[in-house]
Amino acid sequence: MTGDRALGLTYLRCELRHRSGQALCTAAGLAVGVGLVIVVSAASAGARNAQAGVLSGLEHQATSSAAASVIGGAVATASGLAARLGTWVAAAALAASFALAALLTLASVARRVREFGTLKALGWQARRITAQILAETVTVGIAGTLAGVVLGCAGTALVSALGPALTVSVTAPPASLPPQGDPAGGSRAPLGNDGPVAVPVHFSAPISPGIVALAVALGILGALLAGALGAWRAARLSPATALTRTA
Amino acid sequence: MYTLTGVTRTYRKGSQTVTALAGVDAVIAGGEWLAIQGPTGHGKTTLLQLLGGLDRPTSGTVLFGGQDLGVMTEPEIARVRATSIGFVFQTFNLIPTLPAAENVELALAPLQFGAAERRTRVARALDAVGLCDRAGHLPAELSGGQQQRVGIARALVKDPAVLLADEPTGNLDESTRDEIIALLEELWSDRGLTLVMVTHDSTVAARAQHIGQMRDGRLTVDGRA
Repeated sequence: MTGDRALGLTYLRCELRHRSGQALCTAAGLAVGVGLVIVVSAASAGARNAQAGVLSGLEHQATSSAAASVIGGAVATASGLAARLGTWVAAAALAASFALAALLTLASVARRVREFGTLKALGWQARRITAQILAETVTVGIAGTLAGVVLGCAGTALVSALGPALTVSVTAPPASLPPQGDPAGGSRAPLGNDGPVAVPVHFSAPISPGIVALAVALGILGALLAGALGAWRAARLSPATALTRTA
Repeated sequence: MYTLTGVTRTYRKGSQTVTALAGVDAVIAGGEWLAIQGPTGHGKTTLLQLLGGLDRPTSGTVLFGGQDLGVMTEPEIARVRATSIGFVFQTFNLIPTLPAAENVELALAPLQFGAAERRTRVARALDAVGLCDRAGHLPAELSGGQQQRVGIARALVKDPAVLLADEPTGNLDESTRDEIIALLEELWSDRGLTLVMVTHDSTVAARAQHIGQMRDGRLTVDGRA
């Protein structure tokens, strides 16, 4: 390892240790955002699976295709609404965690203005100071993102474990039913002829590698954006102004 | 070493224009020790910042070894600071999270030294200021005088041609002040440094070869404008 890299790593380690409270807050914020993205995505996938399970179950129970279509449409609308709401909640949580990371990074840069002025007086180029700030933020971002993945997986497992065993019962008097019969001319029995139809649906929230990869990418991107914002502020500082600024 | 010609520096402060330097002409020879005195707000620190390439003149030229600091790009001027100019600050300006040795090593980061050369230079610099046994201590674990010694080691570790000191004893008690000034004097004479020091303390200024007075943004050296 070169002396330059070793010094950079020492600086990074000492800064993170010294400002561990702020680093933990940033990492925790990102972890919550990333975790929510995973849980909500998995729950949405679970809802879609449950919807498919309901339709499949109704078909196996020889329900009329028109009735199945009506019920399936209602289920799809409900699960679609839930998925959209979940997506908005996850996006809001992620945006809040990015904003938190950015604000904490900017606050840290503001507190360290004189330090950056001193580094410039020592001959540090703006790009080296930028790299130092980015390294600090991205390290915290990676830690927060990994914690978020663990949190998301745990949350998803909890949703699957605590998810209720669903049973869809359909009882409809003939008058309230849509037009009977299978347009394709099939031999399905009309709904309601043999009493309620009970369809058991197992709800689980599956995690796909794609969702985890997306959440990781979003978490690290958020940390990079927050770091870039802070680094940009630090790089723009005039050394003379920075040195005379009180901490 | 330095040639200043018609140097002015003005700032905007709200709707007003403040003149910090109002036409400074001066020549500072290599190896010279110049102390600059004057009331607060009359341009001493601004002048020091221009000499260090931390700021640029509004008009006039600041030549350092024949190079005009006012027209250099930021990377070029950072390179000059990294190789040729050491700074000592009144408030020490050490990085609070780093031990003394790493604080000194920060000044070597822009230079292309290997790890062994860095360690040697840092050890030598700390030895020169009498702080070998404090290399692993954080600034908060050092006294004010020791912190300023670390600051001096950091300024000198790269063997600069110029040392610019802004009130280096301003935050120290009298006995520590005398120690620090004796150290700076020794380093100046041993290394052939050009030393420009801003100070309010006449006892400190009296040790310099030349005394400059800043008043209303103008500099007179040894009584001559």
